[in-house]
Amino acid sequence: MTRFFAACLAGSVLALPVFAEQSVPGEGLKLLERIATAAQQLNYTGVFVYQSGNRSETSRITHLGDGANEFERLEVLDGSPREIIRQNDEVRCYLPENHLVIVERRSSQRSFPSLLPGCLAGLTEHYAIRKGPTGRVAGMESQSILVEPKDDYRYGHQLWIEPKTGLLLKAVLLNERGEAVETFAFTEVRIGGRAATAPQTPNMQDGSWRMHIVQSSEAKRDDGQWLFRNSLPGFRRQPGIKRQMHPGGPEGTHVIFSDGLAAVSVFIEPLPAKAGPEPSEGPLAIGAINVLRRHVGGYQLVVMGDVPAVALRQFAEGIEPRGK
Amino acid sequence: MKTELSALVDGETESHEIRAVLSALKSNVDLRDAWNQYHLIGDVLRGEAELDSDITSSVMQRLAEEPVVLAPSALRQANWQRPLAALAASVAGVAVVGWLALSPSQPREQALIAKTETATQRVQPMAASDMQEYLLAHQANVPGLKLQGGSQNIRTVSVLEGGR
Repeated sequence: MTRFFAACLAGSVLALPVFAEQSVPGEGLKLLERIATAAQQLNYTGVFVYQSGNRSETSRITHLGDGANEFERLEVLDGSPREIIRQNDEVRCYLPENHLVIVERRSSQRSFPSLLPGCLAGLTEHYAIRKGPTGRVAGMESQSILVEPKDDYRYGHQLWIEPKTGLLLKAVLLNERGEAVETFAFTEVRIGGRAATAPQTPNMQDGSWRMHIVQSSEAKRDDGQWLFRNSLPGFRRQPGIKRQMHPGGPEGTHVIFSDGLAAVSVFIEPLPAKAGPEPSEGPLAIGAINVLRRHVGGYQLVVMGDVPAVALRQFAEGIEPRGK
Repeated sequence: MKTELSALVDGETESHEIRAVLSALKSNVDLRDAWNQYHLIGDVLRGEAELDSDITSSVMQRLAEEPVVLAPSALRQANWQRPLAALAASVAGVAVVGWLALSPSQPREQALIAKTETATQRVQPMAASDMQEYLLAHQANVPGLKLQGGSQNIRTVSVLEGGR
């Protein structure tokens, strides 16, 4: 017995240096949770550059959060003026050149931080998360965190955070070849403090604006009319939402699958009786988000998500109506 | 044979291959049509042809129907690289086949890799600006950790600028 204990002790002592090099189990997940909480609860205002492919754009973001309520304003500073304002669960997208406002109300059951514990617990099964080197971003010392996917079904992330508050200062999304798909980086940011005045909403006085409110409601218990044959490992299905994507258009269903970091949306809408020719099906890449569209049995499917194009296509090809 | 024909039009055929392509051209009507088309396409692209709009539109339609090669390698390579590229491709083929044969227990990953290897497919343009509502809905409703907070919404409006 003593010998057994001695062996165990020796084993654990030998094992210690190995554990010390790897991160403590759960530490990676805690780091990511800290970043998400900081993004939600901190007050900050700053200018960031968003880069995707050969395009880059500068925007200003102001976020106010007290833990209970959130307000956020995102203004694009280059090119045509565009703005997104979020108040808790309502997101408004202002497009002055089109005189259009698109309003999206997130259904209450999905609001942050209902993070679906099961969803997050699986995160470390599919990603290796560890601390990387420190460096300077936006004039601040920052800690990098590397999130590496364990398979080809998701992207990797390089994150730089401000260590005291946990605010994300820079994020790079990496594809399966380790190339940057998308980069987001603050060039300057002020953390904390109260906003002098509440941020203003855009001027809509000239009266010719159209407002497009996307109506949505929780789908009554999944109607189960669709089969998703090629599931992506680790992506869990969330409750469906009924929604009307276009004014006067038919009601469709929005189903989401998520692995806790990445998400794939499937929008299913009935085609009008006199549908035109089948639209081009893609693929289309919008930053890190890949999009596919196709017609199946009188329905249009739009499938999009921040997953590699090959994975998205494989998933999309497995979607079909039940009883076919 | 159309690949070889295309290379001949571009003046990129090895001298010993030319005879084979020419004799195929003599005996095959489809190839002769393709030969004419390739020259017409070349003329249009160089702006040398005087065409009325009907011909241009039919050529553009043909162009749209051509499969687009999604492989990352450059389409036009110098002559000396061709045999090397072919060799590399065949080695890659062997490597993939070998890998598939050695790992029968992972059908899913096989499928993923096999699809990655399929380099040619038809690609048609899809307008990013049609996708605003979907993008906004996607980003507003995704569950899970939102590391970037609201700044990820930049994707929704960045689309508009790109679509112009």
